[in-house]
Amino acid sequence: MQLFLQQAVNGLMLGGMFTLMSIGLSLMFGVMRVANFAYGALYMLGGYAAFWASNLLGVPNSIAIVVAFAAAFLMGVVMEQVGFSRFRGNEEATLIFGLGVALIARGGAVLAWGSQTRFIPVSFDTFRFGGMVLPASRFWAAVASLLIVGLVYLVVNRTRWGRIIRAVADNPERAALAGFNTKFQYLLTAGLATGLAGVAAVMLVPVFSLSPAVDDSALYTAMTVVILGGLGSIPGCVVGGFLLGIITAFSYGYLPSPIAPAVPLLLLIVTLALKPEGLFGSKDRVV
Amino acid sequence: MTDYNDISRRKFLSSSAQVIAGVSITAGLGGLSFQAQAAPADFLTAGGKIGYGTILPLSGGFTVVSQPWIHAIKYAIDEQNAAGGVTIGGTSYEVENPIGDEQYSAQGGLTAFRRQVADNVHYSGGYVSVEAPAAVQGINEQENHLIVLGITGKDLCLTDNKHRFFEYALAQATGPYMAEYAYNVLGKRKVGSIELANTWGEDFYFSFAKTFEKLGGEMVTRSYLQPNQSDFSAQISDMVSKGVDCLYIIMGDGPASAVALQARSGGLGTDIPILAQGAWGPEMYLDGQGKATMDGAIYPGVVAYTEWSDKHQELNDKLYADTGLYLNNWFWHGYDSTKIVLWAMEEAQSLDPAEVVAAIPAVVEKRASELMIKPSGAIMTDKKGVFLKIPMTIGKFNANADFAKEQALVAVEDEKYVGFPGWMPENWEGYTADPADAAVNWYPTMDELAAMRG
Amino acid sequence: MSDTSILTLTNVESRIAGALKLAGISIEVKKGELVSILGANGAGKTSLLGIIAGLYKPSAGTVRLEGMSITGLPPYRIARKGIGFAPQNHPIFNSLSVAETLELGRPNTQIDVESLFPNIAAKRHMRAASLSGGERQMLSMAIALQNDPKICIFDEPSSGLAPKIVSQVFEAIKRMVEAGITVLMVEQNARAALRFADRAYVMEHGKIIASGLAGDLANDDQIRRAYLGM
Repeated sequence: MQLFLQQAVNGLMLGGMFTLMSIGLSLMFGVMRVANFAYGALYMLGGYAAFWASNLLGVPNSIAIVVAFAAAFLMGVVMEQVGFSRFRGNEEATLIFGLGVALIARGGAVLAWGSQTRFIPVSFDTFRFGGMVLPASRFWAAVASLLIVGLVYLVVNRTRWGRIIRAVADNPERAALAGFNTKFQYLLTAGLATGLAGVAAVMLVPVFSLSPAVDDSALYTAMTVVILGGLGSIPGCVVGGFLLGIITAFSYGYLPSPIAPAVPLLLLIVTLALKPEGLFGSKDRVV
Repeated sequence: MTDYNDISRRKFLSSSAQVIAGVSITAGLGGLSFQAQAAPADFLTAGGKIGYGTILPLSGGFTVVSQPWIHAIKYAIDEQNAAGGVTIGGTSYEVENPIGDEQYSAQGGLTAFRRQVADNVHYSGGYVSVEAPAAVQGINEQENHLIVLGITGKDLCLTDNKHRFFEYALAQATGPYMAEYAYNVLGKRKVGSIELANTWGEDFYFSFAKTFEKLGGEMVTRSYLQPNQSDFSAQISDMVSKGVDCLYIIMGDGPASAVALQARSGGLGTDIPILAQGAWGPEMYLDGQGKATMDGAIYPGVVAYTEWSDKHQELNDKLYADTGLYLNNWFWHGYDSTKIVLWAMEEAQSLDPAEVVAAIPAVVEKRASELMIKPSGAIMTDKKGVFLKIPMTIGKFNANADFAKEQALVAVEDEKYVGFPGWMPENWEGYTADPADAAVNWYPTMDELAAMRG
Repeated sequence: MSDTSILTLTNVESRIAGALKLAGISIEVKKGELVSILGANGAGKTSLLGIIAGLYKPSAGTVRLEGMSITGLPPYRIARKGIGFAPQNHPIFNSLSVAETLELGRPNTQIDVESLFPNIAAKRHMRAASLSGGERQMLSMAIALQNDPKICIFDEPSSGLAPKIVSQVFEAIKRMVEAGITVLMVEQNARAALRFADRAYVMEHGKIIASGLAGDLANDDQIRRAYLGM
């Protein structure tokens, strides 16, 4: 029972972190209808921005977040300007462009910073109660994840700018005729979405560590969460994140190790078979 | 038991005699010279050089492992070329070093291998993954290609194959020493392990577990690293709940760092020692957090990894200038093994891999003192290639060392674990048996090893 | 109504792949007017509105708003300069609620949109996707009214709507004009259009073939028979 509760708590904390890791990808898909296959690479680059801010400049995490957000924001803007805006509606070109950027980013990261694993300092403190162990770093990362995701939800759903980007996502021509600069809004959204990948990296690198190779697992996780929850839905992203977190914790905790990684995939396949649009997806839903 | 070195020398002499006899007959019949039979020209690249290729990942997370290895092979070749190249029959040949990208995959390794074969390269070293050389082995019917491998795992290196030179200690030989050290010296009783899911990881697990359990210890949990896995909290929690007092990480570099980090913050504090296998090196300890997480990790390395000499300094400076990395265990995979093969060409006076591989034991015996890893010889098998006899040392990582000036791995004090044999005894049945044969004792305990060594 | 020119098109021409689609179109809408453009399908009415709104660029001629050229500007800049456009087939933002749609821009200060369109005001909290055709048209017009445009342009506001709804839509347009809002609309329903409009232009094959006061045109037998199907 003790271990069961521990795994449940592990799953919840992981769920929070997975949600944060995926929110930018979800936003980008929801607003721009772009499946950004460079998302994992942007997470990785955001992580390096945070790493250098933290290790070289010695700044606290709060400033590292700003640095990583700004760096990733800029990369998102450039990607939108150079690629996604030209390929809008052309899924193949978008996919290849994203993958290409990811390859270049990973190769560049290896050349620039080496492929060794990097760490952002984190305390080994644990909260213990009733025999349960809560690593402080994970606990705070999970809490921060939920706060950030909540903030994104509020911005998208409760602010004028949120209404505008949803309108642009919904019908760009109509939005332009209503006076909205769609190109600019796309740039902002792309920047925000990838900036969130950077923020996620600052929160999660201390838990998971960093190397040029983390892009794969970040992309895999984010894609799974976003597809599970329904493409482009923020509540779906939260549900998908927690579902994946809990399933991962329990399958790795209780099933034979070689089978464990198959369970989240199985869940994904079942979801796609029964509800192809994802748990919270619908055809016209935008974010 | 028969002295195995005698057997290999006899075999070498007999095969040389056959060659000479064959040459004499051919020469007598057709008036051809020795060179026509085993003409070095047949084994040269288009540029008239000896091709000694490297196959290693050029990008991705494993470049930490592959870069020192790539450069070690290159430095060994550069040194040989600077000394006049490889001299056969009075002619000196320069050695060139084409590099193929393994991409840490079977397909990448195969493609790179085929490319080198097409370029008339007959010697290839490297490979990080187990899957790539296994794939090459699977298709390689080439009688005329020598592959130099630094990877253990019985399903890889104890399978029948063509010309192979295994330049690393077998897991079966080092596992029992690690287990005994953990039980007797560290006083640990409950080990939790996490391993790469392949023949390499499995060998390190079983070779450790058999001895550890025999001593009275318990392998409490066994789990695996899965592709794309970044979170280990469930496995760590399982270990914590079962009272693990020692963590055995059978994987290298990035994933190992992530496991260690999450273990430390997940309830397995720094009072719980880490036993490590795989690519562990200074690059893991460059950041404060890496130091805090993994300082003191226990690792079996080649002797050269625990020493520091002027030659170490020279190579370290060069490697750092070229890659920004420091000497690690993988550097030593490439450096001495390449020299051994190049010297074996001169020893055999041939570029035919069949003859060169046969000359390896003799070369190692003659020139051991010139090698950094101080081999005790080499074991020639009938069908499984040549295994280098490498002494190993258990060390503790000093994460706070100045890697530019001193070794990261510091030998432990107990002499039993310093320079112990990293090879399986010559009379071990594993050298002749089929790896699928369950009747074979693939993972002898420390006692059984001692009995075999006599 | 005053003499101030709000929208002026001078010799606007449009070619698609060399073929002349619009030729020498000159139109003027004065402040406070309701001007209608009539014509059969394919006459070029929607293309003309597209040029005004910036969706297409004219190959010649100029479009001026209060005397300043807006020719060839992108749609969002034209919209910001003061053109509120409700395109054909009432496109709106399906995923937004009615309330969110009504809050996209600043509310119109000349007319209270909620009392103008009570039907949609009653559905504030519904998703726009769930609105009926008539409600969609009203919401689209409400979007066009945001930010106090200098002129509202409605493309076929009655198309596809039930007769009862059509009259509500025209009634709403009439109230806008009464509130001082300048309107240019394209209509196929010529009878209704001429009843409400101050002036009208009749288009055929990309040209203006008649123009004048709505009442005059409505009473011109030749126009009635030949072009308006009345």
